[in-house]
Amino acid sequence: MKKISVSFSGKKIEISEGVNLELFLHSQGAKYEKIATAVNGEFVAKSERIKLVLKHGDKITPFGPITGG
Amino acid sequence: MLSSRFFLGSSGYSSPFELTLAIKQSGASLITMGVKRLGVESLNNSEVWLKEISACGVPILPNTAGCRNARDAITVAEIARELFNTNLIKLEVVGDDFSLQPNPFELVEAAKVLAKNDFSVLPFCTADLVVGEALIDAGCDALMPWGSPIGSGQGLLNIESLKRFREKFSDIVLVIDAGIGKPSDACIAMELGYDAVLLNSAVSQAKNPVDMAIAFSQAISAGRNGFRSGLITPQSLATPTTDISNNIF
Repeated sequence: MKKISVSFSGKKIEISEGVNLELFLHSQGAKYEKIATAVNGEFVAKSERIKLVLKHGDKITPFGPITGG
Repeated sequence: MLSSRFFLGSSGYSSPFELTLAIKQSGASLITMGVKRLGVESLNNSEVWLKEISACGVPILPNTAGCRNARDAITVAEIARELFNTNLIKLEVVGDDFSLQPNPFELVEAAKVLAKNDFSVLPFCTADLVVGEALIDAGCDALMPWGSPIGSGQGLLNIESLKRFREKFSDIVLVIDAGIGKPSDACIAMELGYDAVLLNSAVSQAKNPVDMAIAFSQAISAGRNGFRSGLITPQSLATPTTDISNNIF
């Protein structure tokens, strides 16, 4: 299967073409229900992850909670 | 309906235990939290503080700290809604790195979009009447002018502008957010008729954060009770409090 390259929190990762965001997060060991995600700076809701097939060059950013004022 | 007029930030505590104790002792009705980009190595360990805070049973008010334009703030608000499961958002868009002063143009633009998308928007702003009006028109549910720059502890630097802000937006929920240094600052904010106070560093950076949280809670209650009871109008001349209409000698 053809490989594509995506960026995950700044780290370049090679994946198979056709992988969706949910599968990708799973493959990275993320407890994907506990994190939020953006792809290319756009928020992707949990319910939409399975529908989003990653493309070459996509920038995936995971987000989590932090203390703040 | 909020249980108190004290909103407390969660940053800068030495441990989750200290923070949760401060939350409980303060009686705070909202706890602010933020959103951060996770590194690949820290994907699954960002939840420690959230778990501890959530266990306190106090609603969380997420913020968009770190955003410098409307687009990023909107994205972060959407992320926060999913992470914290709330429509509440403290909208922060920094316009000046030196003072961390909010960017009013980006703030209004973001507020319009977020309000349309069913967020309950609480913007961190300055006490600028024109910007305040624009934020209300954009659909904000409250306004949160700073007392002074974030984390500065300078208190209420411009009381006259804060008074005018209160007078102009008499029907709007107003919260003093940022710059509070002492319990007396919070008390004055409440005496001015503000609806609540949001602060962080003054408690978390105190030598004893838990006791300071209690002090702020008391000051906020005292200020509110003073405002509700009807403060007397200051005057330049003395008024005898003892009836001395007839000279004693």
